[in-house]
Amino acid sequence: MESLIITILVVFIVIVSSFSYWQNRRLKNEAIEQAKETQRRMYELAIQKELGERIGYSFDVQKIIDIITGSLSQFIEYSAVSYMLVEPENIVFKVHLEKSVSRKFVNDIRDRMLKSLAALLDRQFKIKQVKETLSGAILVEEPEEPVSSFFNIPLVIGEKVVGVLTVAHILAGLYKEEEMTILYKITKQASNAVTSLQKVVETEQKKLNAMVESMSEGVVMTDKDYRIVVVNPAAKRAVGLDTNKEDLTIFDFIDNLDSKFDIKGRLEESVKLDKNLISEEVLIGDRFFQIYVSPVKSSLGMEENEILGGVIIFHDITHEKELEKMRQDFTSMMVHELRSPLDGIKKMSELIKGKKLTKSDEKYAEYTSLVYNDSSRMLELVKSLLDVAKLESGKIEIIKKPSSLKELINDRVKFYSSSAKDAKVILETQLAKDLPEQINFDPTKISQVLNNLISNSLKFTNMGGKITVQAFLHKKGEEIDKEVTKAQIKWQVKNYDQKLLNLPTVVIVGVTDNGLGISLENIKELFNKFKQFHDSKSKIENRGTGLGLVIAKGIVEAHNGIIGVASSEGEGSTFYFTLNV
Amino acid sequence: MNKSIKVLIVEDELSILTAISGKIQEIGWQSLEAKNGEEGLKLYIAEKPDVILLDIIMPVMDGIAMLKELKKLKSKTPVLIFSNLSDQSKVAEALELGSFNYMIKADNSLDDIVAQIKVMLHK
Repeated sequence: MESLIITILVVFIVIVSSFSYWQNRRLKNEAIEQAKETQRRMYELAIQKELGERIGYSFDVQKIIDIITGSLSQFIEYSAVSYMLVEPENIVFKVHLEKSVSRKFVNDIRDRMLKSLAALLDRQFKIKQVKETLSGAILVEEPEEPVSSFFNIPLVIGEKVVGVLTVAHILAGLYKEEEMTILYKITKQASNAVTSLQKVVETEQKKLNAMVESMSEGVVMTDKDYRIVVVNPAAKRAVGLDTNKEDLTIFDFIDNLDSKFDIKGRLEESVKLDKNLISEEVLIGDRFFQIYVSPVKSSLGMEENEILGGVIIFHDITHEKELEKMRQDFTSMMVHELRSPLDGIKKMSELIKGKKLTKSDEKYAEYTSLVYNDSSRMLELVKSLLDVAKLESGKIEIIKKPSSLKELINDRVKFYSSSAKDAKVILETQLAKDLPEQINFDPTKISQVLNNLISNSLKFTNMGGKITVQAFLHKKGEEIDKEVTKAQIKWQVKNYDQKLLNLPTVVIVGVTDNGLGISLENIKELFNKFKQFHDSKSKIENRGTGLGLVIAKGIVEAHNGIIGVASSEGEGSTFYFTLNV
Repeated sequence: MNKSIKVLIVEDELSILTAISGKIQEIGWQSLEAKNGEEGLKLYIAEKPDVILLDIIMPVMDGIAMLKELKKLKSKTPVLIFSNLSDQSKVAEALELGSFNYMIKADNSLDDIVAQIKVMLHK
């Protein structure tokens, strides 16, 4: 009985202890597993972080794989980690040795990798295409241990195999499912990152291409050997090359630029000395350009600030030059217009002073009236300049009050009747019967507009001509042609300006003459401050400054009206404006 | 001066034209007044002046056009280009057409102009 009890006890103890042994062992294994798992996760995280950080700067597959291989040893054991990347001509083969191995070992890896690559890509590679780089431990002659464990992972970017990654060991049976899974995961991650980045880059590239294509500035980009990489239509146009012409070389540009701009020399200077160059203005054909030449440097991957080539930008400054010319013309015209009468006054007074003229002298009246005319002219001009300045600074004050447009027009026509008589020009009115008695406007300012338009017409209408001041009510949605017929107004405006369509209900005032008319080209510039339009054929002896129309436009627009002109050369013109009712 | 000197003044600015003309007459010379190049050319052909005072910016026919016409006529008459031009390129254009004296109107008094004409006549 005793022995039975002892036996049972022993058995129990054995069972318990073996249970706890196995239990312990199991726990210990679990702990090891857990630690391994943690390590693995940490590693993955670290790789992910590093990849994330570096990929930001690097689009270089090699660099990314270098990052992976560089930290792989923390987790997987290997004698050598290596990768092969297929390039157009060569195969990059990089081997990093953790342990010293023999030449034979490396060659063995190389051959195996080449074989996998050939199988994956279904093409043959030659050993001499392989550009090998070794790093890490040194090669030894002895012992010549063979590759006993070997594991290959294809490197895939954008669904295309670009290479293989391999770990190899002198010991056998090392690479099991676990290691393989991790390697797969990591390479997959890297591949995804590069693939998505490549998509971004592609999209950006497309956007950039579209932008460059549509740019108004001419862009030519070359590589380091001055081969054209990018050229947009504007650049071809700039130098007078057919925009459909493809496969341009720098020589096309050299030929077409002739000696106007040393494109190659400047490019070389810019690329070699890493300098941004800006040319003086260059006249190519009938346009002026400023040409910028800059080196193109890499900012992605590769060596920092490596110069990849050059870019030439043709910036068309013709318009700026025209504007500048207009401004200069305007200034010199103003100076001339101010100085001439002033000089006249000075010279007249010099003459009068020397002569000691008195009122009874026959020349007295002539001389004083000349002085009077010149000073009036100057005063008018100064007034106009002030008006323009006020208009431009928005300081013009419009004081609207209910006024009779009919009265105002009649008054102005009366005022100009004597000038018209002198010029042997008929000046009359055509006013519609249904014109509102009173509308809201600034009578002083609108009177100024009429003055400017009537005196302008007088200048451009020859002897025997006719000027008609017209006014009628236009109702929203109605056709102007019908309205004028009904109102018995001879309306010459045929080709309607967009401005005269879709008008609200307004009064339209027109000053129509059968004078010289204005060419279409000049019409565009008519209300431009800086554009004085000369016509040597016209009878004008008093060149205007053109400011009258600029002022008229400002006043009408301050009334929220529109102003315009319709004209046909040789037949006459109609200057019109609207007043809201 | 034995014979009365004829001065052709081509100037569109009426007061300046009248003032210079008045001065010319005052010193006993004869003045011919033209308001533009066309009138000036007609007077030149008809009157054969001893000296021409020529403005540049004028309507109908400007000073440069008139100089070109004078060149065609192989004129040897001394010309005093007489302008207020701020635009030097126009003056340069005129001076390229031959050797002329050039004076800036506003900088010179009537006496200065007369003095300049005398210098030109004694050359």
